[in-house]
Amino acid sequence: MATVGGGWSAAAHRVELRHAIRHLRDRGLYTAAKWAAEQLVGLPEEKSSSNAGPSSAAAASSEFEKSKLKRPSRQKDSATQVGTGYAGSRYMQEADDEEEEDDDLLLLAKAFFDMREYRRAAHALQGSTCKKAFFLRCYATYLAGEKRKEEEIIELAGPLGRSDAVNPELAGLEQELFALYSKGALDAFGSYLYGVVLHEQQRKADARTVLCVSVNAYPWNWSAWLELQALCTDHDILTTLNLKNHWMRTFFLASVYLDLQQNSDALTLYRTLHPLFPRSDHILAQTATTHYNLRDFDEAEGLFEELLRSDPYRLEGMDTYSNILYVKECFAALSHLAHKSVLTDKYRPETCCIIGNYYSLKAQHEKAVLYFKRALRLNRRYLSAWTLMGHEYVEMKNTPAAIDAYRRAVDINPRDYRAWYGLGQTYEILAMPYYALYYYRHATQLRPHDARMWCAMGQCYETEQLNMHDAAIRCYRRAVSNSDREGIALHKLAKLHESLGQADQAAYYYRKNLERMEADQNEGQEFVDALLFLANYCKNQGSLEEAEKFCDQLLDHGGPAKEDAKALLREIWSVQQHTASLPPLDLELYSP
Amino acid sequence: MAAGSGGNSSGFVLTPHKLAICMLTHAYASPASASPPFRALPADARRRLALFLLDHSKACDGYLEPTLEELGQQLREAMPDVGGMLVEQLGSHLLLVSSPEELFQFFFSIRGKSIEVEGHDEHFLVEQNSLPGQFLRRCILSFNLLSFEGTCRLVTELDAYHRPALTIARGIPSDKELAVGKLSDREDEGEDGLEDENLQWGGGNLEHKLSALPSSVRNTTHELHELADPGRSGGGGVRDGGFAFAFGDAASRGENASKTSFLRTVGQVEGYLKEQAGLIEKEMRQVPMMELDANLCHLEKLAPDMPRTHYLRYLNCLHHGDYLTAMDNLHRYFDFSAGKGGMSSAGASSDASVGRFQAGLLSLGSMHAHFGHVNQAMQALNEAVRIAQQNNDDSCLVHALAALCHLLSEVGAVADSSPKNSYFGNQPSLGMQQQLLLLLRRCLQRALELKLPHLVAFSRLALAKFDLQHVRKSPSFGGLKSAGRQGTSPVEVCKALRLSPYLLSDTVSNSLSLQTGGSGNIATINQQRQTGNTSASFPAQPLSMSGGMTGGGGWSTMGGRLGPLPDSVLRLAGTSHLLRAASWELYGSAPMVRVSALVHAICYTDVASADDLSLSYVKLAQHLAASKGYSAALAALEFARRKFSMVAKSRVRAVQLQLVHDQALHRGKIKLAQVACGELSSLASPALGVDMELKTEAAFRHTRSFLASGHLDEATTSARALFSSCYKANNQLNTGLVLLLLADIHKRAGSAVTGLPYALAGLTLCQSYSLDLLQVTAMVTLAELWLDLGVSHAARALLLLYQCLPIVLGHGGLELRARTNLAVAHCHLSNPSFSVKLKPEEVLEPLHQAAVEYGILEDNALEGECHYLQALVLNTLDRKEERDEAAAAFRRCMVALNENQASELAVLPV
Repeated sequence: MATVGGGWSAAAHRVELRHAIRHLRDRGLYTAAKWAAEQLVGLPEEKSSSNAGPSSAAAASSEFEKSKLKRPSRQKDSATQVGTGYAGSRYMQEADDEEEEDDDLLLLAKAFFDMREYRRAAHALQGSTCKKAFFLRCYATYLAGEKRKEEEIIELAGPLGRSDAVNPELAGLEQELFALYSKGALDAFGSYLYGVVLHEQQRKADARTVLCVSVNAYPWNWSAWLELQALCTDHDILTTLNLKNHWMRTFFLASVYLDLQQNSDALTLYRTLHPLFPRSDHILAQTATTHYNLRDFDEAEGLFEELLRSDPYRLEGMDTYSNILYVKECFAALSHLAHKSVLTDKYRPETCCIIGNYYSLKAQHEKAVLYFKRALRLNRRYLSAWTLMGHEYVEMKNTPAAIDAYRRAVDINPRDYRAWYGLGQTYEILAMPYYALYYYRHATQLRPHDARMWCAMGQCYETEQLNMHDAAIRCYRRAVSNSDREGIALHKLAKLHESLGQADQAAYYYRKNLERMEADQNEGQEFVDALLFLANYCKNQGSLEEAEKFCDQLLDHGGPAKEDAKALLREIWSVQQHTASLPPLDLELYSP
Repeated sequence: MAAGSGGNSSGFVLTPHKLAICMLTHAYASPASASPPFRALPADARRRLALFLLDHSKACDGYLEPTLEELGQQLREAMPDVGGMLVEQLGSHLLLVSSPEELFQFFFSIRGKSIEVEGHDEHFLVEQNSLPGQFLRRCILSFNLLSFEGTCRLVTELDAYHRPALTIARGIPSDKELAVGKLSDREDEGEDGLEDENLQWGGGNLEHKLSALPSSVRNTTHELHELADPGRSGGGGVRDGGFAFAFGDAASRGENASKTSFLRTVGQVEGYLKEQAGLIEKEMRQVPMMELDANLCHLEKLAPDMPRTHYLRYLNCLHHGDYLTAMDNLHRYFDFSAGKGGMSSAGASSDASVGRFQAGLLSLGSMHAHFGHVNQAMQALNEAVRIAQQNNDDSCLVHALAALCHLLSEVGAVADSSPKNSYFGNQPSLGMQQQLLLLLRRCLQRALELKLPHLVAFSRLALAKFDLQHVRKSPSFGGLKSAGRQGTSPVEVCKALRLSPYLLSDTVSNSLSLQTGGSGNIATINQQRQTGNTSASFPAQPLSMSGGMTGGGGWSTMGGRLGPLPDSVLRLAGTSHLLRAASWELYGSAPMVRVSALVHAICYTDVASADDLSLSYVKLAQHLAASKGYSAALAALEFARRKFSMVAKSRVRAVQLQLVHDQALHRGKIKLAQVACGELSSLASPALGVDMELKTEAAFRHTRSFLASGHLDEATTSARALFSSCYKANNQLNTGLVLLLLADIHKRAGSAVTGLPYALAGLTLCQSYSLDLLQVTAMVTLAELWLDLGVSHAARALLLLYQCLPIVLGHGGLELRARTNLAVAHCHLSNPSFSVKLKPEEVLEPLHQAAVEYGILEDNALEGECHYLQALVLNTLDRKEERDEAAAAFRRCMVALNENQASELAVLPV
C-alpha cells in the first residue's frame, strides 16, 4: 500500500484531474468539478513546476503503460491498491479535441445554463449535434424538470398530503437517451445522465448497469460515483458491480463502506488514500466521520478541528462535528460552530442542524425542533434531522410526534439504526416493551456489533412485564462480547444471574465488572454491590481470605453497605477462629 | 407533517372531473345560458340526467375519479338516446377551456345558476341546498380559493383530461370495431411529434403498457361495470389503446401528470379503503395479492399521508400469509397513525395520542395468533391489556380481553405449546380453563357496562361454547366435590344462545342512536376473526367462533352513515345460529342441525364471512351424507367449492376428503381411503398448535383405515396415541369417540371382554357431556359386544338396543340406523329362545331396513351380510323365491366387494 504513493502517480493524477475539472465544468457538472478540484489541491505539492502542465499528458500516459507491464498482479488486491493504470487518457485526448469546436450557440447556452435559465439553455441547443451540446441540452432539460418538480411539490400539497410530483421530463429524456444508448452512441456523461434518469424512474438494476458503464468510461465524474453509491444498498450489490480498476474506484469503495456502516473497511481505504492526497479535505472529513461512527469521538473531533483550520467556511460534514460536540457537551465550541455557520450560510440544512443541536444541548427543545424543521424544509430527505427531531420530541414527552419523526427517517433510509433505536426507546417509554422489541431487533440487525443495541434489547426482555430472563441474559452476553463500554451489560448480567440463583455465573460477572470499574476508577453504587455480593459469595464458598479482602474494600465506602461489611467481617473472623480451633476438619481435606 | 395537510380541511379539490360534472349540471339547469348553448333535453331525459348527476355528486366507488371516456360511457349507458350527444357537447365545452380566463368565465357564468332554474317543476334538484346544488357551490368556492398557480394547474389537468377522450370520441360514432380500425390507422400514420426511432421504441413498449395500465388506471367502478356488462369488454380494449396512445404521444408530459389529478376527496378515499378492507375480511373476494398491492402502491403515491393504506396492506399480507411484510406494515401503520387523529374521520378516542398504541398491540397479538405464535400473541395481548388499563381505554381493554379469551381457548387445545403449561402439572389445562372462564365473565361484564353489543354477543357465544365443551360442577352443590354431579349443562348453553339474538336485534334497532366510543378500535381489531379460524377446536368443527370478533361493518358502510354496528352484529347473529347447529349436533339431533345451518345459509348470506358461510354449507353437506348417501353430499360440496375463495375452500376440501374417506371405507377401497386420509392430514398446517381439529380428525381417520384393513395392532397403537393426545389437550369429546373406536377394534379382534371397559367408559363420558347421539352409538357398540360374549347375553343386548331405538330412528344418520337394525336382527337370531318361524317379520324387517340403508351407503360387505342372513332366514321359512332373490343380491354384493377390494385405483376428486 505504501508503494503506491510515488511521485509519478501524483503528477499523473494532477494531469487527469486538471483535465477532468475542465470537462466537468464545461458540462455544468459543478459538484463533480468542485470535488475534483478539492482533490487536485489535495495532492502533494509539486516539486518542480517545469515538468507539470497539460503538455505532460502524453508522458504520463506512457508511464501508465509501463506501470501496467510492471504490475501484472493488480487485479488481486484491487480493493486496497490505488492503481492508476487506466486507458482513460485516450478519452481525454478526444475530449480535448472537441474543446476546440465549441460553437457560439454552445457558449450562449452555457451562459444561460450558468444563469440557471435551463429551458433557455436547452432551447438554444436545439439542433446542435456535438456530444457536448447534446449532453448540456439533456442535462438542462432534466434540471428544468427537477426545478418544476420542486415547485409542484409545494403547489400540490393538498389535503391528502404531499403528492408525488414527478419530473415531467423523465419520460422524454429516457426515450432519447435509450435510443442512443442501445446504439452505443452515448458517451460517459450521457450514460451518467441516463443512469440518473433511470434511478428516478426506480429502475435500479438498469441504472446500476448504465452508471457502471459511465464510470468505467470516465472515472473522474464523482457525481456518477455518488449516484452509484445511492444505488448500492447492501454489500451483495456492491460485489456484483462490474468496475474497472482506477484510483477513483477506491474513493468510491471507501465512501460506500462508510455508507454501509462497514466503518473499519472504510477507514483502511481512507488510510491508503491519504498518502496520495495528503492535503485532501474530503478524505479528512470522511475519516473523521468514520471515527465518529466508530465512536472514537476524540479522534474525530481532532480531525474536524484540523478540517476547520484548513477550510474555515466549510459546512459539509459539520453537522457530524456538531453531534460530536453535543455528545461531549462542549457548549462553547458548539455555540462557536453554530455562530460561524450562520455567518457562512444561514439557509443550509447543516447550519440548521448545528443550531438545533446547540439548542438541544441547552435543553431548549422547542427551539431545537424549530431549527430541525427548518432543516427539513430545506431538504426533505435530510435524514439526521428527522432522527434528531425525534430525540427532541422524546425529550419534550411528545411521544406520537417522536414516533412519527423517527418513522419518517426509517422510511427514507431503512438502514438508519439510530431511528430504529429511537423508535424502540419511545415505545419503551410508553411502557410497551414487547412492542419495542420489534424495533430494537431491527437496530441490532443493522449494528450487530454495537453493545448499546443489545443492552437496550436486554432491558426490554428484563422488564417485569416480559420477565424473559433467559433472553435478556443472551442479549447482555452479546453486549459484553461486543465490548460494552458503559459496562451496563456486565452489571445487569451479574444481577440477573444473582436473581436466578446462579451464584457462580453472577460472581464471574461481578468480578469482571469490578475489574472494569477499577480500571475506569469509577466507584459508584455498582461497585459496592459487586463487592458485597463477592464478599458473601467468597464466604459461602469458603475462601475466607478473599472475602475478607472484599469486605475491607467495602469499608472504604459509606452507607448501609459498610455495616453489612462489618457484620460479615465479624462472621468471617468467628468462622476463622472456629476452624482454627478445630484442626480435624482440615485433616479431612487431606485424606485420600 | 400536520402543517402539510392544512389549508383545505374538507379535502375538496377542484379536478377536471368535478368541472365536467359542473358543466353537466349547468346543461341540466339552464342549457340555454351556456356560451354555446346546450341543446334542450326532453323531460324524461332530463329526469335521468338528474339522477345521473345526483349519483355522481356523491359517488365513491374507487379512489380515482373516472376519466372522461369512462364518464362518457356511463352517460351513454344511463341515457342511451341523448347520452352520446351530451358527451359530444361536454367534450366541446371542455375543449373551449384552454386558458385561465375561460375558467374564470365559466365559473362566473354558473355562479348565479344554482338558484334561478328555468321554470321546470324539478328545479328543486339544483336548489342551493340540494346535493348537486351544494356540489356546485363547493366547486365555485374552491375555485375562488385557488391561487393562480392552482388555476394554471387545473387548465393543464383539463388538457390531459380531455385529450385521450378526444382521440376516441372522434373515432366512435357508433361502431366500436370501426374505432379500433381508426385507431390503428392513426398509429400507422406515425404521429407528427414522434421521430422514427421513438415510434419504434414506443411501439415495442406499447404492449407492455397495455398490460400494465388496466390494473393501475381503472378503478373498481370500472371493474364492477365490466362485470355487469361483459359485452363492453371490446370497448375496454379501445379505451386502453387510447390511453397507451396518449402516453406514447405525450412525450413532453409525464405519464403521472394525468393520474395524480383525478383523486377523490379524503372521505371518499377512506370509504374506498374501508370497503376494500371489508372485502378482504369477508374473504369473499379472490383478489390476488399483487393486484391489490399495486393499487395500494399507487394510492400511497397519490396520498402519502394516508396511513390506512398501510393497514390495508397489512390485512392483505395477513390474508396471504406473508408474515414479515404484514408485521412491517402493521408497525408502520401504527407508527404513522399515532400522531394524527385528525386525518381519519373515525378517530378512536378523544386523546388520539395514546389511543392507538394499545390498538397496535392488540392487532399485533391477533396477528401472532393468526400465524399460530401463541407465546408471542400472549405477550402482546397481555401488554395490550396492561396499557389499556393504564390509559383507561375501556373499549380496547374489552377487545384485548376478548382476544385473550380466544387465545386461551385455543391454548387449551394446545397445552403443550403453552408457556404456562408447567404450572398445572398433571391436569394441564384445568387452570387454563378456569382462567378462561373468569376472563370470559370479566369480558362480558365490561362489554355490558360499555354497551358494546358485538362484544356482549361475542362473550355470550363464547360462554355458550365454553359450556358446550367443558364439564362443570352443578352450581347448586357449591364446592363440595363429592356431592357435585359433574356434567355439561345444556340448559345454560341454550340460555346463552337464546339470549344473544334478542340482544342483537335490540341493538340493531338502537344502533343509530347508540354512540360507541370504540368504533375506531373495532376497525383495528377486525382481523380478530382470523384467530377464530384456527381456534375451532371441536370434534365436528362446528364451533368456529370466527364471527366472534368481527366489527367489520365499519368498513363496508360509508363514512359512518350507519355506524359500524349493524353488519358486525348481524354477522354475530348468524354465528349464533351456527353455534346452535353445533350444539344440536352434539346433543344429538341431525334434523335440528340441518335447520340451524339452513337458517344461517339462507338468512345471513350477505353479511356472514365466507368462513362462516362455508361452515354452514359444509354442515348441510354432511347432513346430506348422513341421510341421503355420499354421492348427493359430494355433489353438494362440489357446488360449495365453486362458490368460495381460497381460504374457505380448504375447509370444503377437508370435508370433501372426509366424505371420500368414509365412502371408500364403506366400499372397501382401502387404498383410496388411505390416500384420502393422507391428503387430509396434509391440509393441516405443520405449525404446532394450529389446525388441531383437522389434525385430530386425520389421526382418527387414519386409525379407522387401519381397522378397516385389518391391521389391528397398528390401529390400537395409533388409537392409544390419539387418546392420550386428546386427553392431554382436554378434548373430552374426541376422547369419547376414540374410546368407542378402541372398543370397536377390540370387538373386531374378537375379544369382547377387553372391549367392554372401553365402551362403558365412552358411555359414561357421553352421559356426563349430554352427548345423546354419541351415547346411543356407545350403547349400540355395547350391545354388539354383549352379543359377541355369547348367546346367553343376547337378551340383554336386545334390551339395550330397544332402549336406543327411539333416538336412533328419530335423529340418527343412515349408518347408525343400519347398524342398529343389523344388531337387532343378530340379537334375535342368536337368541335361542327366539323362533324365526313364529315371528319372521321381527327379523326380516330390520334386515331389510339394514340392507336398504347399507345399500345407500354403498357398504357392500355389510349389505351382503344382511342379504345372507335374509337368505338363511327365508330358507328356514321355506320361502324359496325370496330366498333366491336374497341370495342373488348377496352374490352381487360379494362380487362388487371383491372388485372394490382388488382395485388399486386411488384417484381423488380434484
